[in-house]
Amino acid sequence: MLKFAKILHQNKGVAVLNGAAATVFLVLGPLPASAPDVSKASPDDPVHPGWPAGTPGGLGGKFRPKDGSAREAGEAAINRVALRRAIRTLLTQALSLPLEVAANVIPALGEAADVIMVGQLAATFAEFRQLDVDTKVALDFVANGPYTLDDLRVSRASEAFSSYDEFYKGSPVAEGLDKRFGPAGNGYEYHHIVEQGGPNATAIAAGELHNTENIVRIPTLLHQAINREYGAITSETDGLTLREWLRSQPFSVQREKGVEIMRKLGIVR
Amino acid sequence: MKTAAIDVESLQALHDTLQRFIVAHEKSDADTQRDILRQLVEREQAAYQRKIEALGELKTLMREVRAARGVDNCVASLITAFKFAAELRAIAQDELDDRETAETATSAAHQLFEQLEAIVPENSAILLDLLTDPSPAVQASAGAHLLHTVPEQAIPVLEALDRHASGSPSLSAWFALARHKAENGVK
Repeated sequence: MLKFAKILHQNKGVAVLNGAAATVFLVLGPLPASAPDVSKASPDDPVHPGWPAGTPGGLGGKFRPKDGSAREAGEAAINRVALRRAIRTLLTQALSLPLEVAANVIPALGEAADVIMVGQLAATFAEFRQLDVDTKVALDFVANGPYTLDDLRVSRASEAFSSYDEFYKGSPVAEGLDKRFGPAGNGYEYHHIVEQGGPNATAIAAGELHNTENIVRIPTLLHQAINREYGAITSETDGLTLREWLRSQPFSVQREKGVEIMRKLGIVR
Repeated sequence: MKTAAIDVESLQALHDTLQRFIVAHEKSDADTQRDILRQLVEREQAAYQRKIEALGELKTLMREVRAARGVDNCVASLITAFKFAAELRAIAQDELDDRETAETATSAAHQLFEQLEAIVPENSAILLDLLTDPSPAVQASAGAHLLHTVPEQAIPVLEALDRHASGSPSLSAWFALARHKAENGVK
């Protein structure tokens, strides 16, 4: 089992190694730490927090995540999303690879990045600059969070709309407005707490989906992180994703779980 | 030309790397841009290598399960393979961000647990011990599977994971509880 554990828990820091060093690392695995960590977990120790004795699941006395773990979980989720976008950009723009075959060609990329043409670098630059904006917005947002749901609303007034288009643009006959709420802003997107697509589009009244209590404004990367959680396999027993299960649930359950996901990602308190 | 090694392990570090790329582009420094991209490729290659090795080991463990003879050997190989699959599932989702591996590991863990349940008695200490495994991923997977047979033991473990663990074990525990409550009409 030791051999298997070693394979599973190779140090993620491998990414910072180059060329031959990376190869050596992959073959040998991480170097042993210079000294074992002898610190002990304690419920009162903010540096090495532990679960109190008697915590169910045999967790008593073991290390627990530090306070603020929702925020850390949120940052980690955003980082995964942002990194995935960077890699996708690299593969599709810089290396001119169709995304659907990208994973299979990873081992054969070799030094392809070294021969990228200047024109391809320009395309990559444009994508990376937007990702940079999105990352900065997410960092600022997380630093000032978590928020209340009211903080994230686009309007304190309760307003319902017959479609998302109407929420976004407004009714052309209403007060001559060209737009209602308009774009969410650079680095931001609108998020439906209860999803608008799939069976919800017909099973739930439009006014319940497209209203100022269900639509909140959050950073693009957090929106993508939420979507990732919805799409991840959440069931241990039948491989269902959270999205697939929620779609069979009533509005109230979908909303409650939607808010809980936002809480788990450190967006709301 | 080699630039400094990139660090993308945190959002701030990734942001700093993007900034370096942007500055290099504005200075028409193609070498630095290529070097950052090359390091991203290497990072992706390392993750891919890790995935391939882990899936290979899972296959080996599944083969050992099929080859095991005698109840004790079968149970031991099933437990080993189940723990590996449960951990791999969490790593695939939280670190590798790889859906294919997560699906394979989830399916394997489920099959292995069903085989275990078929050969050991309900409430067996062998199954219940999985709830106190040091790995939160193993606890979460075992808890979700045992929720219907021994809810009184599984629920406190899943609740603790939901509150205190992070990543996919926490999400799995929360989801298993939410689904169990919904299916049993518990508010």
